[in-house]
Amino acid sequence: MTERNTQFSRGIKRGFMLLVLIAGVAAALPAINGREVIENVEDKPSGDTMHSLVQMTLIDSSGSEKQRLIENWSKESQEGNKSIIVFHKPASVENTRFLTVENPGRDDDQWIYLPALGRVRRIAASEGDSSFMGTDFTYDDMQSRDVEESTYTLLREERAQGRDCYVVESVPKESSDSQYSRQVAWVAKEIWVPVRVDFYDKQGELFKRMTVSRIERVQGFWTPINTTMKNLQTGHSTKLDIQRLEYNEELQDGLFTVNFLKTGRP
Amino acid sequence: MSFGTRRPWLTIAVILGITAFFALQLPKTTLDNDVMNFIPEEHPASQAYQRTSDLFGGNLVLGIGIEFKRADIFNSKNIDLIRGLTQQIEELPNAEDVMSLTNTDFIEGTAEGMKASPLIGEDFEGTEEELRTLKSKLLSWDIYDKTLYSKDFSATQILVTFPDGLDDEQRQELYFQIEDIMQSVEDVPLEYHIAGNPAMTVLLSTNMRSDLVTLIPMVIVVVLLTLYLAFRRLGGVLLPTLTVIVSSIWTVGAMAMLSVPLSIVATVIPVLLVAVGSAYGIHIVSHYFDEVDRCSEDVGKDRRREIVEETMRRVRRPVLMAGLTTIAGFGALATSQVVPMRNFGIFTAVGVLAAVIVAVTFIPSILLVRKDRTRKCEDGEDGGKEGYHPVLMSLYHFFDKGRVRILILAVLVGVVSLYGMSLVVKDNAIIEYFKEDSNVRQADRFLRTKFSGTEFFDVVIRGEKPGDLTNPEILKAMDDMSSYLVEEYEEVTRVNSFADFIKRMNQVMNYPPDIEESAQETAASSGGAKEQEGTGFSSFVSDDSGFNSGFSSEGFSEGQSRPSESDQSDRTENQQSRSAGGISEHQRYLSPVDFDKQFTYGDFARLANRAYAGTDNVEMTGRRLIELINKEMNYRGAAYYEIPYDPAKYPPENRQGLSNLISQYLLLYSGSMDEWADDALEPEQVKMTVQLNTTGSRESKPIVEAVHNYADRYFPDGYTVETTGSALVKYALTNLLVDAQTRSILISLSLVFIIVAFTFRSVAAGIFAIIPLGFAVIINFAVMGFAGIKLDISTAMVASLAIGIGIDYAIHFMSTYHYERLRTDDLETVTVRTLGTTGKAITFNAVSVAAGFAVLIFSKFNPLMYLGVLIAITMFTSSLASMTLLPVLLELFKPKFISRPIRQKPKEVV
Repeated sequence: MTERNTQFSRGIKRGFMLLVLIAGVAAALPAINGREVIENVEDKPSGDTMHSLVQMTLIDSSGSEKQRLIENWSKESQEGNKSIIVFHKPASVENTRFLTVENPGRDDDQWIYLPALGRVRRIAASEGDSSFMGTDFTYDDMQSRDVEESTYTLLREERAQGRDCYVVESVPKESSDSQYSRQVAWVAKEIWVPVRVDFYDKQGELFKRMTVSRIERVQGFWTPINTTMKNLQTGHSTKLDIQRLEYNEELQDGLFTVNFLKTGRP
Repeated sequence: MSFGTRRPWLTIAVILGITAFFALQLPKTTLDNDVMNFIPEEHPASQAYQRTSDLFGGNLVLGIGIEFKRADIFNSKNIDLIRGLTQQIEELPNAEDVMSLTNTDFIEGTAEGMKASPLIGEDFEGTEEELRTLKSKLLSWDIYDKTLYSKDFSATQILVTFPDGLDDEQRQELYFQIEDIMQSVEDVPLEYHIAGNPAMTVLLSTNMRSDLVTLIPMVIVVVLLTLYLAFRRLGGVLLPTLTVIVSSIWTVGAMAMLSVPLSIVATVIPVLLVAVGSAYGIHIVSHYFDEVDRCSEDVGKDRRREIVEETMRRVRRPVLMAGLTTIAGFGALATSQVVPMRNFGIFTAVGVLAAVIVAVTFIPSILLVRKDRTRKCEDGEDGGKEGYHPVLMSLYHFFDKGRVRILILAVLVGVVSLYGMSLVVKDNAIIEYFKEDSNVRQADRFLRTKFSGTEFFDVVIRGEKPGDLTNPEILKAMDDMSSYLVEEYEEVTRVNSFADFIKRMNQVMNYPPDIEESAQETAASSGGAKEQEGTGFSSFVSDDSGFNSGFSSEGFSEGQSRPSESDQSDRTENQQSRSAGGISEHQRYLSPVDFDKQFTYGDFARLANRAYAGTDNVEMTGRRLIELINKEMNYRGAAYYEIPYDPAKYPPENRQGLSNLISQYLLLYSGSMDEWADDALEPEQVKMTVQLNTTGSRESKPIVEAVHNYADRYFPDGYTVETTGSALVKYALTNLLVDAQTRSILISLSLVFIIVAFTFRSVAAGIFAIIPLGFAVIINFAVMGFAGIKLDISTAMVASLAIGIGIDYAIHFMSTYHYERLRTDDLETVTVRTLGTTGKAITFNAVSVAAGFAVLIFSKFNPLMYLGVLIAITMFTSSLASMTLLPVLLELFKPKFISRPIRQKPKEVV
C-alpha cells in the first residue's frame, strides 16, 4: 500500500470510529459488549464436576431415528479439564471408554479403550471438525472454546426460544482455527445460556442451527437439557437430551486414568 | 389456399408476430449435456444412481492431473504449488469436496495407539527427511496408489467433487474457475490435464455453443448456394430459406419457452430444418416461377394472384404429403426413452410442421405483396435439364440392359451390408464425442494411464438391519471380491471399499508395542487398579459389574455381557487355551518385536522364505515381497491389514464379538465415513467403488456381471447387491439407444408405409415405396460397421431421419411414374419420362439435403460429424435406389396400383 493510501485509510478509520462512538452514545449504551456476553457464558459457574447421562437421537431427513446413549464425567482442575465418556448404546460399542485430558498450551491427550480389542490406545488426532459418533455435533461443538480466538460483535437484543437474548456474532481471528466462517449466538440474559446458535460454513452459507428447547436449574446451575442441532444443508438433525445430571459429585482422580479405561474401575 | 392469399399483409404480420414472440424466448434457452439426464428419471439405472447419491453423497468428480516437468512430486517447490492450488480451489464457492496430496489425512499406528494427521502438515518445510517420510507414508497404504501419485511419481491428482444440484451454468462457472487457477501457474514447469464427468458435461455445452454459431450460418450458405446453382434465380432461393429460418426460430423458441434444454444432438435441429425444410418452399417457389416464366409479357397484379392461387392449388397437396411423411419419420424418434432423442423427435416434427405451415402461408403472401417488377420470361428449366438428363439416362440404360444384373447387384449389396451391419459397435462413449486431438480426450487418456481412470461404478451392499455391515463375513467377502476384480479384469484399476477402512483401522489398532513401553504399561496398569478400588464412583447405568447408580436405576444397559472388562484378565488365558500350540497367533503377532536385534544371514533367509511361502504366484514383484515380509513380522501391524475374521487371531470369541470390534473401529473414524456407510456405527448399507480405465460403456458390462455372480456365489445370505453409477447409466443409455433405434425405424417405416398405402389406395404401393428406403438404411449400417462408426446417441437417429427425408424420393418417383403410366403402356417411355422430370427434382433435393448435412463435418463432435456424413450417404443411396431399383422392380412385377387410376389424385410432382 502506498503512503497516501495508508493515510487515507487511517483517516477513514478515524472518522469511522468517531461515528461509532457517537452512535454508541446515542443508543443509550447497552451496558455490555459482545465479548463480555461470551465471557459471561464461558465463565458462568458450572460446578467442579459434572456427571451426566445423555441420550442422542439422530434423525435423518426422512424422519427415521437412531439412538445413542453415553455417560459423561468431567472435572475441572488447575492443570486442565478431564473427562471420561462411556458409550452405552448401541450395544456394539457398549463399554467403549474415552478419556480426554486437556493440557493448557498444548494438544489434549486422548485415550480410548475398545472392549472388543481389550487394549487401551492413545489417540493423537486433530478430529475437532469431524462428527461425534455420526451426530450433527462435531468434537469442537461439544468443547468449551477459547474466548481469545474470535472477535465478537453484539448485533442486537431480541427474544428467542421464549427468552430475552443478546445476539452476538463471533468471527474467528484465524479462519483456519475454526470449521465455521462465523457463528451467531442468541444468549439468554441473566442466565448466560446460548439458546440458539447459527453456524455458517466457510462459503458463508448458513450450515447448522442449534436450538435449546428446555433449560433447567440443576443444583443451582442453569443447564440446557434438550438441545437440537440441525444441519440445514442435509436436513439431518441430532437431539441431545440429558437424562440424568449431577453436579459436584465427588470424583476421584483415579477415574480419569488409563487404568480406569482398561478396567472400568477407578 | 384461401388463408394465405386472401389477406397477404395480415398473414405476413401474423407470421412475423409469432416469429418475434418465439425469438424473444430464445434467451431463455438452456443447455443440458449431463449424461445422467439423458435417460428418463424413472429408469431403474437413474433411480439407483439417485438413491446412491442421496445416501453417500454425489460422485461427480473432476480429476486434475498435474505432471511436473522438473523433479517429481517429492519436491518442496512442487508440494508448495499443490498446496496453493488446493487452497485456491477449496475457496471456490461450489467446490464441495477437494482432495489432494496436501489436504488428505493419514492414519497410522504407533506403539501407543493411533495417530491421525495430515499427510503434509502445516509445519511441513520440505526437508529431505520430510519428503522421504511423506513418500513412505504414501507407499504404506495402497489407497493412495493411482489416486495421489502416478507409478513414476511424476504426477499427482487434485480431485474436485461437483455438488449434485448444480445446473449447467454453475458447472461451467466452477470448471472455468478451476481452469483459470491451473492456468495461472507460472513459475513451476508442469502440464495439467482436466477430465472426468463434470469436464465432459461442461465442454459438451461450450463446444456445442460454438458449433451452433459456426454451423448454422454455414448450412444456410451451403443450402442457398446449392439452390442457386439449381434454380439460378435469387428469388427462388431466398424465400424458401427465409421460411426455414422462421421455422427454426419457432422450434428453438418453443423449446426455450417449454424449458426443454438443448443437448448436443439439438445442434442438429436447425441444420436439419434448413436442409430439409427448404424443400417445401422450393416446391411452391419453383412452381410459381415456372408459371410466371410461361408468359412473356409483364405480370400484372391480378395475373399474379391467379398464378399464386393456381400454384397453391397444385402444390398444396404434395407439400403437405411430403411434410407428413417427414414428420412421421422424425416423430418416430419421440417414442425413444433417451431424453435428448425424444426431444429431438418431438421438436424436429414440430419444426417441420412449422416449416410446412410457413411455406404454404408466408411464401404465397410474400409473392402477392412483392413489388411489381417487370421481368423477362426466362427459360431456365431447359438449361437445368440438359445437365442431368444424360447422366440419369445412361444410368437407366445401364440398368435397363440387365434388370437381372441390377437385382443381383442389389441382393449382393444387401448381403454384404447385412454382414457389415453385424459389425456395428453399440457403444455410447461420451468422451469419444470429442475429437481425438482435443484437450479433454488427451486429459482423459492421461488420467486413464497414469491414474485410476475417469470411469467407475458403485456397488452398494445392503443388509437387512442396522449393523449387518459390520459382520466380518460380508466384509471379508467384499474384500475378496475387490482383489478378484483387480486381478481378473485389466480394466479395473482400483476398487475402493468400505472394507479398506476397516482393514486399515484393524492394522492401526493392532500395531505391536515397543519392548520398553509395553513393559512400562503392564507395570502401570497392574499397580494402579487395586489402590483406588471401590471409592466414590458411581455410574448412572447399572450393569453386571456391580456399580450402583446414584439414581434409582432404570437399567439403561442392554445388560448383555460383552467380552469386555469382566473377562479382561482372563483374556490371555483364553487365547492360550484356544490355540493348541501353546502360544496363540494373536500373541505371536502382538508380542513386542525387537527390530534392532542382531540379525543373521540365516534369520534373513528363513524370514524371506517364510514370507515367500505366503505368495499366491511364484513370480512376484518386489513390492509384494516387502508386503509379505511386513506381514510375517507384523511390521507396523501389517499382519492385521485384513478384516478381523478369524476369532483365533483376535480377543473376541465369536463373529458377533468381531462385529462389535468393527463398530468400535468405526467409532474411531468419528463419523467421517459418510461417503462409504449409511451409519457411523452400525451400517446397514455400504459402498464400494470400482474404477475403470475404459472410455466406453460396454466394457463395464462383464465386470458388473462378475460382481453379481461373485456376490451370488460368495456373499452370505441376507445381503443384496446393487450396482450403480455413471458407467452404468451410460450402459443403460446405450441399451436404450439400441432399443430406441430399432423401435423408431420400425415405427417410421410403418407410418410411411401407411401414408403411402393410403394415398395410393394400395398395400403394394406401400411396400414398393419402402424398398429403396430399407435398402438405404441397411447400407447405412453397413457403412457404420465397415468404417467402425459406433452406434451412439446421434448415429442412432440416422435411420429414422433418412426414412423421413428419403421417402419423398420414392413417393415423387412413384407418383410421376403412375401419372406417366396412365398415359402410355410403354414402360421404357414411362421410366424415361419419369426420370426426365422427377429425376431432376429428386437429384436437386438429395444434393441440397446432403450438402446441408455435410456441414456437420465441421462440427467439434464426432457423432455429429458422422451423422452428417451418414445422412449425406443415405440421401445418395435412397435417391439412387428410388431411381434405379424402383423402376426395375416396377417393370418386373408390374403391380396393379401403378397402372390403374386412383380415385383421388396422388401426389403430384413439381
